[in-house]
Amino acid sequence: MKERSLHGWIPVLLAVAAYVVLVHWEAAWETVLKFLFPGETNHLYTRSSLARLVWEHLVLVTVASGLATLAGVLIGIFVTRSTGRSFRPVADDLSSVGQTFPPAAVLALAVPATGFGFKPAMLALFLYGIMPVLRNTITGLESVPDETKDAALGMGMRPWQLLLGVELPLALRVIISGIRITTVINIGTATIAATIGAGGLGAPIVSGLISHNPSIILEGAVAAALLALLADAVIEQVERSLA
Amino acid sequence: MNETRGGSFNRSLPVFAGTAVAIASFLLLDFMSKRPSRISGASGISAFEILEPAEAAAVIGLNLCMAAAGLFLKPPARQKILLLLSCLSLFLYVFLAGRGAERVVADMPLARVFPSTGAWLGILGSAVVFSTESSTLPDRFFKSALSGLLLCALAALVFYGQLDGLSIMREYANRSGRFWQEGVAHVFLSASAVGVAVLVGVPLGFVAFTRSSFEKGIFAVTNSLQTIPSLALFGLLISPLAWLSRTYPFFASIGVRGTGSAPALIALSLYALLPVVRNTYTAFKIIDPAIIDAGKGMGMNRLQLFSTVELPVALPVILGGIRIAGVQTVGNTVVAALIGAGGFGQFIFQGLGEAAPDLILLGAISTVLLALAADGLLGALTGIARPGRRGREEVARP
Repeated sequence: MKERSLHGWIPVLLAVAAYVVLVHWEAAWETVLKFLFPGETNHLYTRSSLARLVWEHLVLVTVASGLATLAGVLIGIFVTRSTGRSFRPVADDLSSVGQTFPPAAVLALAVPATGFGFKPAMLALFLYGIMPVLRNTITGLESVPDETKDAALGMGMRPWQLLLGVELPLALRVIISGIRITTVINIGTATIAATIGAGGLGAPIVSGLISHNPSIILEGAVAAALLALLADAVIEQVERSLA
Repeated sequence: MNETRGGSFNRSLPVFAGTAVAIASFLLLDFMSKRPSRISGASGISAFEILEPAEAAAVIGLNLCMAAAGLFLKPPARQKILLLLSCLSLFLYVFLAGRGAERVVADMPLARVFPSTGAWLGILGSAVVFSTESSTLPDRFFKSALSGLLLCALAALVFYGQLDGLSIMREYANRSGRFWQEGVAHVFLSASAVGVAVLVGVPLGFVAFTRSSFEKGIFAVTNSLQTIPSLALFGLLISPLAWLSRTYPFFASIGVRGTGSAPALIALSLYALLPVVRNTYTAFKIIDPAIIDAGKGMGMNRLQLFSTVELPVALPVILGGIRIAGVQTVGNTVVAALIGAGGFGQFIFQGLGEAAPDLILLGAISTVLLALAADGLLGALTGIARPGRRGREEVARP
């Protein structure tokens, strides 16, 4: 069992390593982009290195998704306990109406509220990221059979022991799949966040669109697309190794 | 006895929390924010500076009434009265925001006024009350009639110019012609993208269902497409399309360019593919084989079986996928404005460029309303297709 889950990690980790090498190897990018766009003078984004852009992107997404996960799981636990059960319909409604809100619109709405830069991007990613985690936490906790909970209580477990020792471990896989959705959405939204001055891999795309330079558009687009696919694969592997 | 009382108190917690937050934020936080001109910095205005005493009393009174109703009333009168009060309160907040803005603008014609935290938290509080009570009221007709009435009342406020003092409406008044033009572009682009996604995705989902050898590949591709950030997908399509139109004059003659609506339509359709494919696949997967056997037993041929048995059962699930795709596409179309495809995103990005918050709000709120409308419309369509009373009659007729 353990051996099989380790096997799955090998290609994922190789891909991560390859990506790290790729974003540091600017000479390779320049060669390929020079070949594709011989007419351009600038082939790479000049204001920041690719590795730095990836780093900015990752910090934004990781911090926002981490806080969103914390908030989503806590709210999800609260509305499935007896004291918070009456808030359950509100949580359901907010998360379903909230998911109708376009991420780009949430991002734009954060600007009049907090100004330009990193802060509104963080706020938007955080708020938007809560919903998938919240929804999956509720689903996961509710899928724990009543008999299991009764058995645990019958063994003399306290409610918090039941939660930490039984319910959360059983719900973990579903919760992690919510974190995966949040992370992938946030990587996409963080790309758009370059338009409000938050940096990241959207910066070369937006800058290339403004200056009509397809070479730096491609630089940012390829790096962003690979980052999203990679993050998705990594979290999927985490999910799988829990099975 | 004690337990039931505790239970009903517990039940009312969201009502208490919602109204308490509303009253506290009304008293302590800014009700509206004001900027002396379109692009200058904002300052807050408290409810007491801008509202008449009677108006402020109405807000606080309504919230207290809701809290009292939550404490004392028993179902079913409780839910109906609370729903009614919460709708009244939602209307009151919007109405008073309009009145307040009108007063500021009367003194300072260039000022831009918009509701602030105090008003938004009050609206949230009433929405919490509405959501809590509507979840326990089985009377669907009452709920939809009430929300319909509220929507009509809010639309009337807009129509009769009661909100014209608000910054977003003034921004709209300055560009009403272009607003509708971009709105039509937004709807047209989103609808075409979903149309293409349906034309491609439904057969693809069906193939994934019937040929298991294709299943993995189809899902791997559509899944990856949706994982790629939308802006990156637009970026990836620009160079190949620019190359196509440069190399083959035919493509240039039909309007294919690196930027504009061609890459936007392709990217948006690719993006919308996954929900359609996934739901089509699921729709056929969950059909009970016994129904199909029964149809075969009645002597139906493959085509009859498909059109009279499989499709009517699968349709609501497929429509559910189209609904998800529709809502997502309305949102992603915002990003398409960055590559020159128009739509409400145009206002958002222009507003960001000019540092004009009102223009950003105009674009963002219009997009949100459009997404909610798409969700409601496609949701209603899904509801009609669901094998309810009417659906069954239609299936039984042949």
